[in-house]
Amino acid sequence: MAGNQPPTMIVSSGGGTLKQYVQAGKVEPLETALSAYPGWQSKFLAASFGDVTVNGKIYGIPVLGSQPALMFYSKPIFSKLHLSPPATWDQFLADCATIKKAGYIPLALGNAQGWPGLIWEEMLVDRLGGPSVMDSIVNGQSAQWDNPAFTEANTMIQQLVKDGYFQPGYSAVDYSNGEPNALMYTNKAAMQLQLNFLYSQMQTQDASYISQGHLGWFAFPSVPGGTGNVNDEAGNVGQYALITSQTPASVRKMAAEFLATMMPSASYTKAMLGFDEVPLTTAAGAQLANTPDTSFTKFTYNLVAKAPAYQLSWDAALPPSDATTLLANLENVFVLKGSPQQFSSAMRAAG
Amino acid sequence: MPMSGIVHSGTTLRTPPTPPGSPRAGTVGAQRAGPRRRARLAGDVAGVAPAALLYTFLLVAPAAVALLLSFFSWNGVSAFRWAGLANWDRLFHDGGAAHSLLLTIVVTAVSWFLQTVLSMAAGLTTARPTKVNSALSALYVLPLLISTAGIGLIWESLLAPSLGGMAFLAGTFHLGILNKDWLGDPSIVLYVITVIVAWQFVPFYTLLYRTARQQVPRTLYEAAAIDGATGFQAFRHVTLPQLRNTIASSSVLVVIGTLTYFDMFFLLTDGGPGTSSRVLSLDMYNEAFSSTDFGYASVLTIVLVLIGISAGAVLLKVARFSASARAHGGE
Amino acid sequence: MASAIDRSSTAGRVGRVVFTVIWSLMVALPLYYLVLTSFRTQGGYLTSNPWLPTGQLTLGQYRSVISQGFFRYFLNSAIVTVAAVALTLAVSVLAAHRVVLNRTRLSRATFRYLLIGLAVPVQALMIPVFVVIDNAHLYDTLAALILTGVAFSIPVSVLILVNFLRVPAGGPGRAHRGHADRRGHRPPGAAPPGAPAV
Repeated sequence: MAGNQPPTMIVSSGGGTLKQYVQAGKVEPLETALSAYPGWQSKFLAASFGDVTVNGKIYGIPVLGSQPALMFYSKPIFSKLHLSPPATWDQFLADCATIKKAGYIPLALGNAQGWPGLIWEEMLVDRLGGPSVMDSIVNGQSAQWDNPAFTEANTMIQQLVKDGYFQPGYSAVDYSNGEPNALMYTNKAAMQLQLNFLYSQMQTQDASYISQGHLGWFAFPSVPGGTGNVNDEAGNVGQYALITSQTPASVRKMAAEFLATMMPSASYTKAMLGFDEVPLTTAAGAQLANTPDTSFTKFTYNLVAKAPAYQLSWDAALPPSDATTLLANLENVFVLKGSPQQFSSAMRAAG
Repeated sequence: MPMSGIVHSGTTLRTPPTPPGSPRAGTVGAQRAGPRRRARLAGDVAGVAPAALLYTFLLVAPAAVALLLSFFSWNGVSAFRWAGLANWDRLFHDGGAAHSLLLTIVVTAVSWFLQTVLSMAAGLTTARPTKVNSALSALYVLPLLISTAGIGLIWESLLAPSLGGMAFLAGTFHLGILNKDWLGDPSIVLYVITVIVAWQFVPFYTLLYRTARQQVPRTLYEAAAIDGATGFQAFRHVTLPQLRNTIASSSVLVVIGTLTYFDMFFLLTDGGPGTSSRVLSLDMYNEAFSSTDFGYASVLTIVLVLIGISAGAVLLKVARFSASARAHGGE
Repeated sequence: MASAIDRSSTAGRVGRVVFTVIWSLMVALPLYYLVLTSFRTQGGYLTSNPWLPTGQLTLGQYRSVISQGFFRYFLNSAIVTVAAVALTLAVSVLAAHRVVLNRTRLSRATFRYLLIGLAVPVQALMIPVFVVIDNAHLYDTLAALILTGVAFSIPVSVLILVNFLRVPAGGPGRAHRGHADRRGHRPPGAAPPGAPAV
């Protein structure tokens, strides 16, 4: 987008960068662009458009699936140790201790780029303080970085690190190299908190692990004393197509037709389900039974559909420079380089 | 990091001397003023123009743009907003930039030492034309064939904890010391990357030292032997002085190259974990493309350019000084 | 050189051998690892023995690289390399020739102007180069790669060429052994001057 020849459409998660585009007048409001196809909005779940609405106008339409966060676990290790998926944080900690004592790695993590660690932070802060904490920061109230939800969440994370529950070297491992997943399918690691795409990625790496039913999943546990709803979700709410303003009118018409007719259609939804994507269309509900990985798809679709609050990943929701500061400071928390208080004051100072 | 182009081992960085006996430049033309001189001038302009134009358009102009941009606020998509000296003021209060500068200096100093010692050792030990040395030199040159990205990926994979090649050896031979979190431990990551960078560039400097050593006249060593010098003394009193030019040239290249080196740091850790390997060039890149603050990034750009030019000027003076000391009856 | 005297101490000789062994291993092992890993599958490479050719070995990676357009990428690299080298040589030889031929104020000033760029690496100017290229509507083209590469190679190339091209004594116009006379005729059998520099 910084170059002078932007494409007709770009795919974006919305949030901070979208706000930059809108302020610079680089993207089109969709109500105008898709005005020839009324009713397209109602074909998507109500929660779909929160992150692509700026000043009351919608700028994006979902083109790819939603990516919610969930816990994946190794069924072989769990059954060997007679464990079942924990529903509360205390049970979760007890399970970690058992797993570590038995010589396995409780939690796989590939935090080289910082965003996998961010998922931990997002879920913990939400469980502790609800979605309003981050929502107010995104709306400009940087004083909220001092909210005790952050300090407590960071303390909990550092306790996990101190107890040695993450695999050695987690801070340099890049998730996209496939190593955290490898730790799971080689039966070395028991759990991993990740977005739903882990499932399809693991199928490329070791399909037999999934086909033999070794991969399990459960929702992030509840946290005692927290005010957040246990069904809240975080992740990439959707991946949206935006139409750029520099597109000539004739091309824009074609784009509008493609987006408005194709994206909400039942056939497109079916195709997405075939790739284990979670569609945001209302049509998806009826098609869940016919997918190749029904139990996983049903689970993740329900995570999205039933979430009272679904937060956009913070590194997308925040403006880019705040996002990089957040990731850098959080990486420091994960390597015990600085206290939770230092995290909050650093974020306060930057914002 | 070697710049594109080959530096001959014997190069002293100087302009060509006036051949003895030839008329001084300018006086020839003075005798035949007018059309002949104008033709020569036109020829000069035509000859240097293409190089000068390309160079100005794509090197000097961007530098000027950077300077200009440092007075503005721009995120890549919005309009340019005048910011006056705000970005520059931020530089002097930016603990992060100071930290990056420190890391850069440490990396440069360690790299200079490591690469010079290793390439001298590798070049000198394979200088004699035996079959073994030919094979060794061929081996030593191989890393030059691999791109930065390739080298980064190999080493990242080798050093991966738990599942990497190094970890495997540690497990098989019960050498716990090999099982460190090489790229994830903030206290050692900078040095680990420096070693990998050395692995990348030592092959090139090895070639320089090897060639330079082979050009040292045998008579010097014979004379030293007659004087009763040991191997080490011959090294100190014959080899080192004879290699002075090579040491100077390669030092210039290593220092300037490392001060601004970006590729390997970006690839391996992008400054992480946290900011433990965030050298100045990474700071600049991240300010521009992650934080989308092109104005401040331009300040860092100018700083990097100035550092490069000053380091180059200082080292060239040192090199020229040592070269002229030799020419005027040194050893 | 062949019968050179080796007056090193035993310690020196042992040190040389130790260094050679260690450095050879340092260079060779990662290269060996690279070759061996190229025969593993994506899932398998993290779980197989990385140092011995045991377990599953496959040519699948080579096949998929080729099918994913390797030759086109290679062609791009080849085009950029050939064009950049040719263009660099052309402009640098032209300029260096003039600098050496007529040491006038203009040519010497230009030479010093070009030398400043020696200490400026392209990474430092990534962002403004992007701005310049984008405004010239050359973004995302091979031409941009070529031109940028040439511009940043000019200082080093001109420096080397100026140091190695020799002008015959007495200025231009006088024929000299090995060099061309006024009309550019060279004595037969002489190598073009400056060939090693090029």
